[in-house]
Amino acid sequence: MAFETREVEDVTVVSPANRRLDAVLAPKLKELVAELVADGNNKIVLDVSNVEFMDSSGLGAAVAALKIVGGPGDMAICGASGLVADLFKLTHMDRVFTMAANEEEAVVKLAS
Amino acid sequence: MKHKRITLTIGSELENVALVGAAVSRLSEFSSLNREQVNRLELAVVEAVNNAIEHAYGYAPGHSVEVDLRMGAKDIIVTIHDTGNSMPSTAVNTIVGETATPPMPVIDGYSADLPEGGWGLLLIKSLTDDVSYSSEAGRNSLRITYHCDSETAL
Repeated sequence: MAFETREVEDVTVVSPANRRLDAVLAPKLKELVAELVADGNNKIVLDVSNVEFMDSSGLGAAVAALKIVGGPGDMAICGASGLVADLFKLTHMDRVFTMAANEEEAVVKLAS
Repeated sequence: MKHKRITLTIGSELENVALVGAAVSRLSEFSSLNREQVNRLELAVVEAVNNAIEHAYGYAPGHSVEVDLRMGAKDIIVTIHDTGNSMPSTAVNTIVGETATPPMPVIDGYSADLPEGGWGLLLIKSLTDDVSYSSEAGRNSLRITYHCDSETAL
């Protein structure tokens, strides 16, 4: 599996199984989020705390997922650090997504 | 100062990009780039190789993307070569030349028409010290340069 998912309250947390979120995994992320939403999981957290490398294709898939979910009230990114955090900042996507330090904070932000 | 040099060649499939990214990252550790610069160099190279596969070759498999890495005491120069379609001049103008500033679209908040891509060249420009592009005899070359923080004898 390219991604692991788990339920925390009414939120589905998606974590890439390996440390790269790149052009190979991007379409799979988009597909997974579309399936989750179709199955009635309307709140999504993308946990990138284990991701050490993310390119603009990975970011594009996150944006696509955000649109599928319906906006930043229902999707958060948690655990972005280093290069991954830089990528969000450089593209100004940190102003678009609900950004959280960790899973717990992300779940709280989506509940409010 | 002489540059140490290695050339890596991958096939034009996205599955191969991580290989060249990891190799460039590991090889850059032989330079005096710091960890943050190495990460940024890897991202810039991956964006450039992705662009070659997506735009120059239109995702057609079976072509080659060549990554030429030259490491000196003061800088690292990476040139990404492909033999596909050349970059249109409008794209080249966003990354090359003194007047080119990274016009990263300023986005403040969510909208349903957010871009899902188009950041590649702007990221390369933002992440590196110098970028140039040339196209000659069917061979396209995107060259990115990093200046090292301090001089280190390799």
